[in-house]
Amino acid sequence: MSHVITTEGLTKAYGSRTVVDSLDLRVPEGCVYGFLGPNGSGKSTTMKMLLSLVRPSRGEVSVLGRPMNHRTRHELAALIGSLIEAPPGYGHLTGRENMAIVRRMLGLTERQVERAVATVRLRDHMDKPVRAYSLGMKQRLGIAMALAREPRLLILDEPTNGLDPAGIEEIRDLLKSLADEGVTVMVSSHLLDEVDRMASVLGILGRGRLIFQGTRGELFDRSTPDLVLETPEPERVLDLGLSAVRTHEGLRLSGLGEDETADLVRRLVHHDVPVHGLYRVRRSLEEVFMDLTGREGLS
Amino acid sequence: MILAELTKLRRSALWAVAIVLPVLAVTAGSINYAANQGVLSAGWGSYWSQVVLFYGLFFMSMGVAVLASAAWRMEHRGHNRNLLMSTPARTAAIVGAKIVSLVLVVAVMQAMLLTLVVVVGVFVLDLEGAPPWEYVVVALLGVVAALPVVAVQSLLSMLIRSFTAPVAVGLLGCAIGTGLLYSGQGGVVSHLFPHSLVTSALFLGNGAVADSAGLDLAAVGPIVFAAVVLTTALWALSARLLSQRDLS
Ligand SMILES: Nc1ncnc2c1ncn2[C@@H]1O[C@H](COP(=O)(O)OP(=O)(O)OP(=O)(O)O)[C@@H](O)[C@H]1O
Ligand SMILES: [Mg+2]
Repeated sequence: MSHVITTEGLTKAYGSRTVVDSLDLRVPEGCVYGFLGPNGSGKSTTMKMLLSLVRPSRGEVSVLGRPMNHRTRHELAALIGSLIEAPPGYGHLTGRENMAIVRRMLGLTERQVERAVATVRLRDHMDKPVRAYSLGMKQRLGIAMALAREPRLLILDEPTNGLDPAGIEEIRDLLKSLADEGVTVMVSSHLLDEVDRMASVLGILGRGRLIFQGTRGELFDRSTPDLVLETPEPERVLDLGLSAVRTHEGLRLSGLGEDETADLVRRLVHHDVPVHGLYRVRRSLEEVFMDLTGREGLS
Repeated sequence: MILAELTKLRRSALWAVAIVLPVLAVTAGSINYAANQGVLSAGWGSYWSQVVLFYGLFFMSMGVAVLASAAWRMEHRGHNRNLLMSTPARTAAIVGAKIVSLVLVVAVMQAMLLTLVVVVGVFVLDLEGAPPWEYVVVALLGVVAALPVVAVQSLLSMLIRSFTAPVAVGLLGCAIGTGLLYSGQGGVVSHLFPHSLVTSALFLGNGAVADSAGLDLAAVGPIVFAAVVLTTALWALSARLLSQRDLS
């Protein structure tokens, strides 16, 4: 599988603070790549470096097989649609005039603009000044601006910000269908739930570092689900020197792999501890994410 | 790129500046002319000199400063710079288009000034004879001489997010420019300083201001030459900085 975005040791420091640290991103072609991380973890800064809006302190970016930097930016710009941080738009102008600006800057046809506007369902609001738009409408306009050029790569920073649930669903469907057509979509969020249902590959940032990159399945495998041990005599288990949390069923044990679990069962039998039940709790992906970013992420 | 810039000017607050400043200049000039009729000789010459006195020293350059700040504020706001920088245009084109659109507004401002000068001169002050055609040349030359001020203010406003800071620097520029012109440092030095170039150009053929040159090729040539050289250098510098510096 070829990669549309690769970075090697991508780093950004502001003063002595490293906000993005040695990222080796691999964004496969034609997928939706969910870029996750808590607030302040460096998602926007990373995306700006991918677009060469911000110069990396160290490291290289390659986009669509070509190096991306301040010298090559303009050559790649027509192929990349982007929406960073907040939707752009000139407030004193109408949606139509804003789209006309984009059309002229990129040399697009009226048809391309109309299609993008229709796709984000903004047709009925094109004659209003953008400053009178709701946040959701601005977000749609921003997405239309990114889409109009029919990009091969879309880089969207929290595109569902400010959208209502129906709007979020629409964007999700839109991004999935774009990926089906072969467009590579990189989309950031601080909520796993938001990208979970559309992203096939995930990258998770914590404090500027990439703490996970891979498929959803791999993320699940990465963390061992907790074990629940149902027993009327939890004290005796704790006496064995196991670290566990008491629950109303008995005990909850974290981080025990297959071998450790077999060993636990042997010791329970050996010490004649009554066991009513022993099972793994399937955690939601959200819990896995919180676990990863909670441990290494939030400052 | 230029067409895109022109679209941004629609219903823009920039036009208000292009109207208000000439109104202020002509009002101030007319009042001064009317109040000092004893000292000043009557006629178009003295009236014009009073108008361009205010306009040439401060109003025009300050107008440009405000225009540039307003034009770049559109880009600083709402992350439009991200949009600007994600187009296939090179930074030279991006900055160039900004300069061109600003010059267009400045040209309208000059046309406004001329119109007001004539209207007030004929209908309010009831001056004798037709307004001299030289004023059209001076006003046009003013646009050319203002190019470096446009370029330098655009550069400042591009780099500085604040609206007022570049305007304050512009005011300082006007003060330095005036200082350069009247400290005997004229000639080459004042031609290399954007703000004094504007003043020199607008004072051409102006009888009321001491040591202002006549409106001839010997005076116009160096001004145009300096304007072109300065603007080109500032334009190249802006393009380079826009390309190499972090935006947001
Ligand atoms: N221009 C800058 N100068 C100094 N620090 C900056 C700058 N831009 C970003 N930072 C810092 O870098 C860190 C990462 O910011 P960034 O905006 O990339 O995070 P994020 O993951 O996008 O967060 P959010 O979810 O809140 O959008 C933050 O701590 C921020 O304060
Ligand atoms: Mg962000």
